[in-house]
Amino acid sequence: MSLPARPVTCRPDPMSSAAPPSIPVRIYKLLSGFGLATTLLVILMLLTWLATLEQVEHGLHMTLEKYFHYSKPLVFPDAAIFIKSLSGQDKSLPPLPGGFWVCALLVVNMTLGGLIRIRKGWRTIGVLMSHFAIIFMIVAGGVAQLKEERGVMMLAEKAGGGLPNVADFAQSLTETTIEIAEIKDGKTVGPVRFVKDAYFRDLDGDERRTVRLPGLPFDLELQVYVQHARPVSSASMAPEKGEPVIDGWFLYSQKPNKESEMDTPGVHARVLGRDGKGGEIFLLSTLSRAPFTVTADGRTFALSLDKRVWPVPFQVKLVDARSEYHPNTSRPKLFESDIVRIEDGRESNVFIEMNEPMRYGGMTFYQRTMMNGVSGGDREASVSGFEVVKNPSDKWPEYSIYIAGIGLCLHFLIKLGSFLFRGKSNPVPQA
Amino acid sequence: MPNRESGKKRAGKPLRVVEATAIGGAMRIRHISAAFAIALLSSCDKPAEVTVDESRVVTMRDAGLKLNATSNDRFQEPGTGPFIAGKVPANWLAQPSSTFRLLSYRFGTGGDVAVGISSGGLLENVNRWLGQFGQDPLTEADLAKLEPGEVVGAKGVWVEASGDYSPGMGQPPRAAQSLYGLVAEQGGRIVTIKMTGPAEELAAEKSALKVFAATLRERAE
Repeated sequence: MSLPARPVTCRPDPMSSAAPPSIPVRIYKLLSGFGLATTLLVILMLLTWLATLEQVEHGLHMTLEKYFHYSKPLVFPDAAIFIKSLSGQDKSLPPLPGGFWVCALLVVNMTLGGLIRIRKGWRTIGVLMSHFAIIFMIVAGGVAQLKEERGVMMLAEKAGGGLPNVADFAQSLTETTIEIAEIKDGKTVGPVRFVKDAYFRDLDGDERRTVRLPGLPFDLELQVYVQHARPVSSASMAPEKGEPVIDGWFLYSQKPNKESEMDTPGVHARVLGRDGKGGEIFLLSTLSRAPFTVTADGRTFALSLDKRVWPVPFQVKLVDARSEYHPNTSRPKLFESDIVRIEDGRESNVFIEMNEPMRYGGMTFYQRTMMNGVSGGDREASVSGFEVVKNPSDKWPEYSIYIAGIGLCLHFLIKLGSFLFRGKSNPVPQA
Repeated sequence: MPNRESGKKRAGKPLRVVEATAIGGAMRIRHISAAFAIALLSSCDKPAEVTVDESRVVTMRDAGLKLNATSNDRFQEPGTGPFIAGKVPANWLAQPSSTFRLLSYRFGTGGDVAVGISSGGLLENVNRWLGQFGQDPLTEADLAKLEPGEVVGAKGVWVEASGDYSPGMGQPPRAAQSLYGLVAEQGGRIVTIKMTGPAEELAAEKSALKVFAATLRERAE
């Protein structure tokens, strides 16, 4: 079958004499066009592929931050993912746009092209629904990155070993903060001030930064941030790289882990009084067993470096933790916990297991880990870890899949009906 | 539960960020502002000064904070044994301690490191080790020819042996094994660091054992 030949005419194209489209119209067409959509999808595919390769070398968290975080408008893929001999040499491939911003542009493109510009009618309702669902899912991812709060709550059946039986907080896996708590009569009073690691994790070598703390009788000066450090006594080991020794201890720098949640950061700090005088330098480490005490203006403060603390508006008490593993493996077959949720004195018994989280108060408690479990079948875990997530878009991906599924079914049914109807009304002529 | 945050960057144009974060409660987050602050911090010139006003509510984690702790209190590893390990190689796997093995590690397919306190004299302990490899006992004169060593202030000698190893204590003999260890004495107390294992694996760990011995310290320090 061939298409009918188009008649050749010598008449000028009436469109050619028309004024060229205005700049806003051109921008609109560019932003809503198939060309942009195709380009963005190809870039996303490339980013996903490169990130998958790179996370083998640099770990999942670091790679996701590098490729898809909103603070990264450009991504420089590590050349070592293709040329192993370049490993550790900090050589990069040509840059690509950051995944977050590619997705943001894709949302604009799909909204303009797939919802506004598209022909609308009952025949396209399924496609419209599917386009909306895809936009909804991408937006859910963006909202999660901007608004999600995620931490881990570790509880023991019996308090001890540094783990509580009851807790009203979770702790971030990766983010670190300097916490400043005022102590009065042996108790922490008032809000706990904190300084996020975004304000000091870029301090290399001798770089230092003054952190002004309004409302407190002192400021802080920070320097020598080490991503993965271990406090070591100079009595047991001399510093290898000229690390400064503070009160007989120094921060021994170790290679950061691929799993950055395993890192134990450390930093040097100094208290600056309101009179401008500086105190002695002291070490802060997430491995510290007690805070550093500061007395200023007659007030006492405890300073510590710790994984960020996320307060939870109710208490959770672990009653029983049970684990079961597939025979002769460490692969979990069953992790489940009985907990008591305590809120304003009211107690509620709740059962949590893998894929059956507790959703309450805008938060979701996932069963994350177990400890002290015996591999091989016994249910003897005594420590249970919950991943606590507060994400307003938690269920949006699920809803978007429902909408996309219904939309595609609708579209296929319309197409089928159209085909069947056309088949009856316009029978194919027999030869 | 009110939480608040503000940050001000003072390099070039001042930047003010107001943010509130926490799980639960009426907490507000202005991530876009924070994103700008963090992006600027990471991409522009590093500021010499920032102003931070962030806070969270008190939780159960903030109870019972120990004040006026010394650096030793803050950083010293907990435990009840007399020794604290300094630099432990990454490939050594720590094992539970016992009466005779105050610190215990394993490495490779059969490498073993044990730190202990023993009784008797220097020569007696060296000869006990050599006897486990079927070697003839040394004399005081032979002992003086061994490489000197020191651990936690105690002076002693490095001992080497190889061959079939009979560890005793009901354990079966093992062929093609080596020993490298330090026996030291101070004030009538014998401190031993003993490494045994397959000859090839042990040879690769000898320098690591010396570093381990040099960085070992007593808990009271």
